Amino acid sequence: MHKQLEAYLNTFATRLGKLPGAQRDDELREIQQHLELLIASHREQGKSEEEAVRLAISQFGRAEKIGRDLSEANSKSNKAHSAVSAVVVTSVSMFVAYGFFSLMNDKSTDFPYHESDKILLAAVLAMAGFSIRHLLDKKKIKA
Amino acid sequence: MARELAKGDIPVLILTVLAQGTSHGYAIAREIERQSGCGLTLREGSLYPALRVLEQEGFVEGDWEIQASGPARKVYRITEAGRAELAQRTQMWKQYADMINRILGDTSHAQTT
Repeated sequence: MHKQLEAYLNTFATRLGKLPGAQRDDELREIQQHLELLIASHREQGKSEEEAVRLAISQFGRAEKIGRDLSEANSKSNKAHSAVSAVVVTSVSMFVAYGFFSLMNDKSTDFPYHESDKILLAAVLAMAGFSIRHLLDKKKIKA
Repeated sequence: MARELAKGDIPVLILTVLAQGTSHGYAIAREIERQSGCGLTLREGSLYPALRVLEQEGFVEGDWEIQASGPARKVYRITEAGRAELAQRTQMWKQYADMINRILGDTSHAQTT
């Protein structure tokens, strides 16, 4: 790959660093394909490779600005998706924990036995599960 | 003389191109260039943040598709909601252009009198 093109794509990769790996790879692949088509078009018009790469990069725009806009646009979608998935997973976890306590605890000496205790403990467990998942997701994105 | 498209005008043009058929990013840029008679240019990279927003709003869907020749490409298509949005944005554009024309028309009339 041409050095200038590689450096340009690296700037994009840095700007898209907050995105999950697969999403970042897709963005970079799409950008690279677009640039390669622009370069090929300039080459067909008789430009040298050096000039074709320079023109394609100029036509595509500043990597810092576009990368930041792309990262922000994707983050909004990821946040909305995460929020919906968190609500669903937490509700299901709470329901499962409550069902488990209802099936297993049939003696007054068992804990939790009272309805209010079962609901409270199920909610605490579901919230703990949500927090652990959130921390793991954050670590995954950093990695 | 070519004029650079404002960022806010890009989504409606993307929807217009996609209403004519499925397309990928590079081809969308070429189609905007062709249909404007090379009168409108854009920083082509700015298509992608606009496409992501249109995808999130449910106006556009994008999928990686294997091509008959060459590598897989992300191909975009307009949704029904996207067509409704395009109709609404087109209407708003026409109203805006009418109002500007009316003012410009009045000004040129005032200058001649």
